[in-house]
Amino acid sequence: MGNLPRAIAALAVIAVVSACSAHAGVAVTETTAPMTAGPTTAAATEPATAAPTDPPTASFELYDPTADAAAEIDAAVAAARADGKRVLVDFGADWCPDCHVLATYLEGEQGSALVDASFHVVKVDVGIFDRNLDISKALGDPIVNGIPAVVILDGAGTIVGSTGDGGLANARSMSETDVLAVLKGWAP
Amino acid sequence: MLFVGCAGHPAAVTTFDDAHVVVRVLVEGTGPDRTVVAEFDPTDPTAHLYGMELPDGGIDGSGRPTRLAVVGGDWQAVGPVTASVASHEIELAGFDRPFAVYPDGPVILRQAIHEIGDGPHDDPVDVTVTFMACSSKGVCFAPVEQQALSVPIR
Repeated sequence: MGNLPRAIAALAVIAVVSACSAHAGVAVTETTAPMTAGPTTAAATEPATAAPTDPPTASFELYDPTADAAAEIDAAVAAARADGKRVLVDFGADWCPDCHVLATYLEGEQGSALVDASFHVVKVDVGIFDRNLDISKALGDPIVNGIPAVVILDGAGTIVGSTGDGGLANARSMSETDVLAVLKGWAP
Repeated sequence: MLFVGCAGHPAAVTTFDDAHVVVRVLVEGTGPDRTVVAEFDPTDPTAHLYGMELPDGGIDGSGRPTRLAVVGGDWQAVGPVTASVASHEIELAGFDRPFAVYPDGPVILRQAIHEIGDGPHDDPVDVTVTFMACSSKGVCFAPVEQQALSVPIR
């Protein structure tokens, strides 16, 4: 899964770019079509108009793009080896709503209790699938079916659980109980 | 399909395909006053795009507005961008504000433009598009931000 820079200035440029859960191609092409008098899809309603744009938000909310994720995982595994907890590696990105939902559940009363008792959490920023991909691959590439994706490691660094099947990638449609149930299954 | 209509001068359609959305852009009309029309069409029929009223960086960094902007060149935007469908709001856990989203499926944005100068009214129109699609039954796809496109005039 690799995401190439989108420096596309000319027509008919083709590159390989990935999206959240699956590979996607990007292409710019030029064709011709009869001139249209107006949109013909999606029955037009009262036109909406653009609101003034807000300034960009903070550089990051959940996933630090500058973090040394490999070092953080190593430290967490060492801590897990010492205290018997496990490591919860959370692959995600700030743009991903489901990642925010997962974070909200983990920071809630039940989630905090579960994490405090059982896990050392490491958040790994995957950018737009162009960051920390080596770490993802080393841990079974759990992000191929969407983010957030969680990998659970024991104190030896062995994978003992993963949502590489996309099990949390639609967290926004899951209840807090359902999300936490997935993680409780991997608690030591 | 967006670009169908009366016979006559074929309009040049610039197509951009990324992050599970196909964007088709053309310029309608003749002379110095025209309209840029951009269709954002998610390849997943259960996917929605976000309302253009969403902040540039989304909410808490999440989501991205659907945007069409005329940038530089010999054409300037006139008036606001309009959308073919109205957005509605959805609430998600952990966010203190709702997200404006369009119904599942394609959205068409239109921007009136005027050529600066005396012509000959055949310079391409430089635009940028921004979007992010999310499936209501599956995952969200990575955002595409301020992708530059040059749309020929015919």
